[in-house]
Amino acid sequence: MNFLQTTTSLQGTVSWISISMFLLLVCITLGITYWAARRTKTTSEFYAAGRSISGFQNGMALAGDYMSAASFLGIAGMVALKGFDGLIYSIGFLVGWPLVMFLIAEPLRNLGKFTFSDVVAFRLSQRPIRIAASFGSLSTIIFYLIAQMVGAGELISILFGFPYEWAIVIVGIMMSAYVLFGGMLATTWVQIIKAFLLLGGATLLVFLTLQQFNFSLYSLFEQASALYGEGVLNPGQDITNPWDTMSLGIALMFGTAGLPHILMRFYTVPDAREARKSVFVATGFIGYFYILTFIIGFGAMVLVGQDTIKANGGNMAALLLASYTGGQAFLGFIAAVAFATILAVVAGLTLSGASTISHDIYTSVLQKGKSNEVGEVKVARMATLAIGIISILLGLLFKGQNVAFMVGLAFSIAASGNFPALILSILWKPFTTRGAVASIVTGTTLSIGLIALSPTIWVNILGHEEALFPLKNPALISFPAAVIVGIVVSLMKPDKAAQQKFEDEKLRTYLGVGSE
Amino acid sequence: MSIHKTKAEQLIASAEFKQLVRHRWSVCILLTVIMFCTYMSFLYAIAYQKESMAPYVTGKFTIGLLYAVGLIILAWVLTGIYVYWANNSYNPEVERLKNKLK
Repeated sequence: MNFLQTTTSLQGTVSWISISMFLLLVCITLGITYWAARRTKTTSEFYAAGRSISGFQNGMALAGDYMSAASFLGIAGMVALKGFDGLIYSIGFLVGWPLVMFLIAEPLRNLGKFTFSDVVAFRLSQRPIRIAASFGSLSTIIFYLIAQMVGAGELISILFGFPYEWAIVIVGIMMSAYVLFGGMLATTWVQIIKAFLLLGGATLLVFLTLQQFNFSLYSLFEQASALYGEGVLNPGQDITNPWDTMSLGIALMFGTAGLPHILMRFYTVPDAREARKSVFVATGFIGYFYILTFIIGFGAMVLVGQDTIKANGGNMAALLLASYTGGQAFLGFIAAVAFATILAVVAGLTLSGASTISHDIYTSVLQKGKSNEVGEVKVARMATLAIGIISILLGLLFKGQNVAFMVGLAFSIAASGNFPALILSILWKPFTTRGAVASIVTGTTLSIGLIALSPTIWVNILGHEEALFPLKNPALISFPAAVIVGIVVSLMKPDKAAQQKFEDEKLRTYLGVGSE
Repeated sequence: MSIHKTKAEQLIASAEFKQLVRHRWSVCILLTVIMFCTYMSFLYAIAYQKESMAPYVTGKFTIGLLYAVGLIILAWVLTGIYVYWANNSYNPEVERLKNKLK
C-alpha cells in the first residue's frame, strides 16, 4: 500500500471552490453584522448583546471563541507527527473548562456588568484595580492576538494564494468591521456559525477518514503503530523536562478561567443559570472537538504519511487529509472553515480589548465611573478601530517570526495575572485593593519576564548559550507567586470596609439579587 | 427601604443562607479538586511513570490513551453532575431564600 501518492504540496492548489466558499462566508458574516448593527446602540448591547443570548447559543459561541485555528491545525499536526504527545495539549485546553464552571461562571455573572474587572473592583478601590486589571487583560489579549494574526496570515496565504500582507489586512478589516458595527451580537453569531462549521467539518473529515478503515478505530491504531512504531501510542519522545509539562498544564488549566474574551461572554446571558448551562454546552463541544482532532491526527499519520506532512511544515496535516479523503471540493470547504475559525477568535479578542479600554480605562478611570452611554459606546468603537490597526501592524511586524510561544504566554498571564485576583476577590474575604494590584502586577510581569529569560526567547530567539530560566512556560512559578503575593499583601494591611462590603454583596453573589 | 435592608441583613446572617454558601463551595471545591488531581496525575504519569501507561487494554489502545480520553469524558461528567446538582438542589434553595426578601 502506498498512501503517499496524494497531493504533496498544498501551495498552488487554490481552487475556485475555496475562493467562492471564502466569498460566501464574507457575505454571510457581513450580512449578520448589518442586521446586528441596528440592534447595537447602548453599552449593554455593544458589550453584552443586550444579555439576550440563550445558554445554548452562548455555549456554542464560547466554543467558537475558544477553538482556534491553531488548535485545529496545530494539534492535528502534532498528533500526526508525534502521536500521543500531541494529545497532551488538547487535554490541557479542555480541563480548564470545568474550573470555569465550578469557580467562576456564576459569581462572575452575578457580580459583574461587562468585564471581569467589574468583579475584582466590586468591593475594592475602583481606579487602582481597573488600571492593574487592564494591564493584565490587555497583555493577555495582545499576545494572543499576535499569535492568531501571524498564524492567520500564513494560513490564508497558503490556502487562498493571497500574499501574507493582504491576508493580514483582510483579517484585520473583517474583525474590526464585525465588532465596530455589530458589537457583541455580530461577534456572537460569527462565533456560533464558526463553531457549527468547524464541528461539522471536523465530523465529516473523521467520517471520511474512518471510512478508509471500515469504521474501525482498532484498525486505524494498528496501522499507525505498524507504520511508525508502538511509540506513537505512548507518551515519551517529546517530554524531556517533566517540569515543563507541569508548568504548561497549570497555565492551560487556570488560564482558561482567566481569559478576558471568554469571561466577558458570560455577560451575554440573562442570568447565572444560563451561564451554567453555557459552560456545560461549551465543555461538551470542545471535548468532542479535541477527540475529533485526535482521530484526524492519526488518520493523517497513516493516510497522508509523516514525510508528506513534514514537507508541508507540520500544520497542514488536517488539510492534506481533507484533500486525500474528499478531494479538491472538500479541501476548499475545510480551508473556508479554517478561515471562519480565525475570524471568530480574533473578533472575540478585539471586542474584549475594546471593552477593557472603554469600560475599564475610559469610564472607570478617566471619567471616574460616571457612566455616559453615548460617550462610552463611541470610545469603544474608536478602541475597536485602534486595536484593528495595531493588530494589522503587529501582524506585519512579526511576519516570519516564530510566535507559537505567545499562546502559552497569553495563557500564563491569564492564569497568573487575571485568575488569582478574580478567584480571591470572589472567595476570600480579607482580600484588599493593594493585595489585588500586587497579585495582578506580579503574575503579569513575572510571566513576561520569565519567558524572556526562558529557552524559548533567551536561547532560540536571542541566541544565547544557556537559558537563565529553565522552563518554557513560566506558570509553575508565576501562578503560585501571584496567589501568595495577593494573600500576603492583603494580610499586611487589612481593609475593614472591603470586608464589610464582601458580606453585603453576598446576596448578589449567591442569589443574584440586584445583578445586571 | 430600611425594612428591606434589615431583611437582607437578616438573611445574610441567617443559618440557612450560611449553609447554602458553605454547601455551594464544598461541592465546587470537591469537583475542582477531582479534576485538578486526575489531570495532574496524568501529567505526572506521562512524565515519570511512562511504562505504566504502555500496557494495552484492548486492541492497540494503551492505558495512556484511555486515560487521556477518560479525562475528556471526566470533564463532561463532572460539569454534568454540577449542572444537575445546581438545577435540582442549589437553585430551588436560592429561589426559596429570595422569596424571603419579598
